[in-house]
Amino acid sequence: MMFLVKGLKIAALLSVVAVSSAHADENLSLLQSARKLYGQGKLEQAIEKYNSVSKESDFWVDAAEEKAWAHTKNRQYGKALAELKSVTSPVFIRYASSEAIMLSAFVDLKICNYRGVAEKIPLFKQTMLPRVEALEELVKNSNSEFVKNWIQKSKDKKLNYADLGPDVIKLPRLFHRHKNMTPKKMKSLAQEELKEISKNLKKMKIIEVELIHRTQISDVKLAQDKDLKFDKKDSKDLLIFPVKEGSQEIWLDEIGKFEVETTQCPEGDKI
Amino acid sequence: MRKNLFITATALLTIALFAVNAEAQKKTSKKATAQKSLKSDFEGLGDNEAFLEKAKSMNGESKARIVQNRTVDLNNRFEIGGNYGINGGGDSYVNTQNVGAYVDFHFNPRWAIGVRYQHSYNELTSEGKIQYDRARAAQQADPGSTQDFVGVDFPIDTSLVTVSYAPIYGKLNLFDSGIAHFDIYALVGYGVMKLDSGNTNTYAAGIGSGVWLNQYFSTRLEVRYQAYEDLIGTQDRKQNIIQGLFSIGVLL
Repeated sequence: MMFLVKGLKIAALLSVVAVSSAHADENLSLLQSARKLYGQGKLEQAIEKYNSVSKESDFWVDAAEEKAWAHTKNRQYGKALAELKSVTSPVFIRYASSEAIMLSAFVDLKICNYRGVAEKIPLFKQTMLPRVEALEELVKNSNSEFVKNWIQKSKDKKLNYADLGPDVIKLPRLFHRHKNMTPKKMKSLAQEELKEISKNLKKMKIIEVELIHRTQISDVKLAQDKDLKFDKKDSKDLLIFPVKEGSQEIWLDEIGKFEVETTQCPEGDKI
Repeated sequence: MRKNLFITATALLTIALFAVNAEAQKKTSKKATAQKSLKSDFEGLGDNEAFLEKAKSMNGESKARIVQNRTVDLNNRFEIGGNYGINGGGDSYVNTQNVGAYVDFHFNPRWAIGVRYQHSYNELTSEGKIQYDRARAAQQADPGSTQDFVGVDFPIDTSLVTVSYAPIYGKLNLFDSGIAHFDIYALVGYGVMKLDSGNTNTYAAGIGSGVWLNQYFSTRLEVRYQAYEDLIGTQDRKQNIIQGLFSIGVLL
């Protein structure tokens, strides 16, 4: 299963970043620095840089996802899941990549949180299937009025996620960060994204097979003697709210404020 | 000969055309297969519902919580405000409303001390008015009448020193336009109540909810019990009131 944890392809990311460099943005430069540090293996420093990206910025979702990767590489699965809880929340799921959902499922599998895996599998399908349908349509017809309209909008002003509205799921991710967009480039971006979704879909299927295997052989109660406990927080300035398992309710001010406590898998179930 | 050549050429062209068409169809079919494949690849993912349900019923190996800072800083801060309250209980012939002000000092989000002052506005209840009117009519008819006016002793103003403790907190969704944090607090107080008959000590205990709208404004809803002694004629009388208060405050 280690092939699933290759981590980010920094070169591919930097190419997207380079195209956007004309959009002078402090958060973008923080993201670039973080990616550079990640690429150098300086994960803790990269996480610090990712933490500096403002929540108001469009780059925050990218930062949260990449931070999750950094935590995963550091084997800090609780922190990885905490970041991914925000990224895969109903607020941001439209902007999340297929890789984010796959990573979330993988980390859940890594810590034997089979319930979490079972929830991520239909989430992947529900989120990505409409995207695939829309992107395949775009590839077939990249000169449609719909595509031309969005290309024109991206030329008229600098777009952000809020500007894309519900059409965000019908357009290639991050297309709005590219300058001088053309129908041909849109088609190319759509094709790249379809390849990425396909790759992550294969990984999700492997995760599903592993999950089925585990549920067949594992007991219903795993690690029942272990009582998950959070670190005590002494500060009276902190508000702590429990998150109910499986709850979809999310408050906007809670995004990025999750803490997750996990246990390790029983010896025989480790991957 | 020419005819044979023509037939051969036509046959060859036909074969070539069929070959090209077959190749095109093969490519289209391959393309169609490739195009369909990603959508159809989703089939099967998550379809094994029985196993997914079994997995969902297994104990999760993680639990989550939200940890966030308070939006309003309540460390070493003064809060001043005004309030309006209505009394229940007390003298049974008097309705009392109160308008007041308070100053609280928040040591931290949990503990605060404060002072409260309120001025009381009183009027007879309907029963009190009936009793009063009856007595007045009787007196007017016969100055020697023994029909008594109602004996009342009403509050004029109250000053309290209070200590409050807020162990419970939460947050409110304000009409989908914002989020406000609130605390539920318990309060005890001691002070002086000025009655028509003179001053008396008063003790107070209450619970309330303080909503911190932003860094500068707050609102409170409080229910307070107060005990004191009044004087009717020459007799001391123990009194208890329950006061409902609404306050608006400014955080300095």
